[in-house]
Amino acid sequence: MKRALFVALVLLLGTRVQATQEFSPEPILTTTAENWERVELLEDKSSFFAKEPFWKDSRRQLPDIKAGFAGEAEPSSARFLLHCAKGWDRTDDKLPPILLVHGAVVDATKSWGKDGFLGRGGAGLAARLSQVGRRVFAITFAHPHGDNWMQAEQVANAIARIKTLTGAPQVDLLAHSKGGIAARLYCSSLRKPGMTPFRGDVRKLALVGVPNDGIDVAFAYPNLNYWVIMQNANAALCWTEALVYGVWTDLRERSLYDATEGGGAFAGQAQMLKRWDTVYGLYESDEQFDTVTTYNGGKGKVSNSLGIDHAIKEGGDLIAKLNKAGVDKRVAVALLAGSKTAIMGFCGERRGPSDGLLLVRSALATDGITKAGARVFRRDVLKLSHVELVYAEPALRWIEETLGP
Amino acid sequence: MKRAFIIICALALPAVADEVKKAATSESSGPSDFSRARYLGADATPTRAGALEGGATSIAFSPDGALLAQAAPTGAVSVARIADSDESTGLWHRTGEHLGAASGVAFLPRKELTLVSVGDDETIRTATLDASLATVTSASRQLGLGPLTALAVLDASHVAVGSCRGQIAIVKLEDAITVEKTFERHEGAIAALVALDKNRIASAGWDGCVKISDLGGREIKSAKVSPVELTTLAVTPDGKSLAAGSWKKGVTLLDASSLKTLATLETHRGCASAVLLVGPAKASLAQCRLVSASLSDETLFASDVLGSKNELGRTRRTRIKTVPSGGLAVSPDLALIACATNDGAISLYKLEGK
Repeated sequence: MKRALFVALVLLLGTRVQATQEFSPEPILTTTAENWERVELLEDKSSFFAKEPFWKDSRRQLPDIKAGFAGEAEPSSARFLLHCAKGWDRTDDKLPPILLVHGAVVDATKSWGKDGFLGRGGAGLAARLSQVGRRVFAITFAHPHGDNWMQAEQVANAIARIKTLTGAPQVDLLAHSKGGIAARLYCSSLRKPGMTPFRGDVRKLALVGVPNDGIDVAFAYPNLNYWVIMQNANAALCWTEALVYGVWTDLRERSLYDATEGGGAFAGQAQMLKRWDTVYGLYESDEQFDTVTTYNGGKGKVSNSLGIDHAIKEGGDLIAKLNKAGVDKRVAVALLAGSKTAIMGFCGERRGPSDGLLLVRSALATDGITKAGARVFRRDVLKLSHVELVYAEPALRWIEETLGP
Repeated sequence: MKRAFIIICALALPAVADEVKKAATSESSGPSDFSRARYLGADATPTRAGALEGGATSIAFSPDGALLAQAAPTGAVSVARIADSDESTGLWHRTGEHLGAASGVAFLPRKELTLVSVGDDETIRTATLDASLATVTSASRQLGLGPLTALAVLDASHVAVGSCRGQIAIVKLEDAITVEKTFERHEGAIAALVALDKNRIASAGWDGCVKISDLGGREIKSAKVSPVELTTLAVTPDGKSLAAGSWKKGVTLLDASSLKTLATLETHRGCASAVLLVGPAKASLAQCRLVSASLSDETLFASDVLGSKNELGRTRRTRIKTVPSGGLAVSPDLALIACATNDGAISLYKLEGK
């Protein structure tokens, strides 16, 4: 979906609109996979959805995910996968079924399956929750950096499908990182025309490492751009051009700016941005070049950036809107943050307590969640990195307890 | 971020190249009179908490200075004989394991060698070791305060423990582990705890406050020291002064009774992640040296004795291999500084000068 289309749409705060009528809660394809008893390909034919552009390293390449999307590596955002873990159809579970919502870059298998995150994930959260008797489902969005409005609507559709499959009136939602923005959106009064209003069908919402008050790490650490380039990482750049191997190189296609700036492949990333320099400043280091121009925009010694304000505007300042709307008062919310800066072999965000990517203050921010009366019943910090929050034993235990009775 | 990236990526335009080369090869200012005495490799034995990375969260010398204990993000609590270490691995003796990051470790001042540790698993653990560093007895108790973040030894059988929910517990460690008192103290996590004397503790919180409490839970004094989260807290040997570090630049020296700010000293380009006030028994602030480590500028820093004007004097600085994660300790004879880094190793540096 071109961001320009969204800009033209009016946000209807608090207005009751019709649910997406075109969602068919019957799969168009069903596959199996090592981690999942059943994987359903579901589709919503509403014109609300569109096919989003993919950066080449963002394509859905994991075999079971690609197979689930009927062989498509660049599926339309009208489609999503619903993964059903072993025991999803059990009848002895009196608690609501659980829907796991993954973050950026990854998918349900990498996040919650066995040996996720380069083999570090152990048995995985899905198996863990299944073993303790819960009915577990997980969503894989079509796009790993996709538009959060469309992903919120797919969360609503996934819940509808789970209710059909299990007969349960409610689910528990567990979301990591970017996935929490889509989950929060559904549980709020914030929506665009054609989106499903919150139906009261979420009992608990556990937000793990979610940028509840936004994130600016991509702009605060200019060298992160070089790291992404060198690693061919599936991540967005905030530079539009840079000196790469001595040559000024056009980077707009993999930037988080919108299509009018030559980007568009990381729409959901721009929607999570918020300035944190007013609290923690910018990271000062002899090894970081173009710190000010990267953050505020402009041409520096080795790069050119449009700046964070430009990107926030293109993302519709979604974090501010989410925080104004709050989470529906029928939902009980729990927040978990990580506080270890060591992540994937390097030291990440270090202007304040962080999980290496996300500041703890953002992950634990409650003001924007409680605005509409939602209760935050648990709020904890574990000494884990952003990715360890998905699979490390203390995080799994926290999740299991939090989603308990 | 690895320095190599920017060199490889950017090195091209002559004007930029000069700056890049300069940044890449620069060492911090000041004389390099920190010499590394020992290098202790990581305790690489797997734990049940999963494949977790990062360096020790807390380190402590034994009262006789012969041993070093570390609490690791893997949950491991281990002890090494300092004399055994020489760029080797496998010297760590595992004394216990938390099911989540271990966040604090200390030796109890007892005749028998006893370690106490706390962790993300909300648990306090004790282990008594024999001469071979094997665990003879151990005990543990879940405190129900949420993940535990800080630990301070009060005497041979009492410790204070802080949690990520801002609570403090006074815990008695004898045959059984007993919680004597629990009280709410900070908004958000307790970053550090120190004992001022037999009856009072000081705590540093993520609310930017330093607070003085008695062991009955009464708040005696509170001061907002930083607009952002505090990282560390140190006390002088006489218990009359404190040093607090935060995620902002500067170490704040405080009077431990009034919590009045005595001075703010800039020891790093960014935050001070760990701070020590190093001086002989009963030393006052004026008789102490300030030692700090920073994960912002990746340096270890030491001042001269602060003197009555609280001045840093001649400073010493060395670049640390990776990034200190908060673990810093001084040996009982004040000759060695132990510093943990994010690669899981611990290095011992000679604290030379006055």
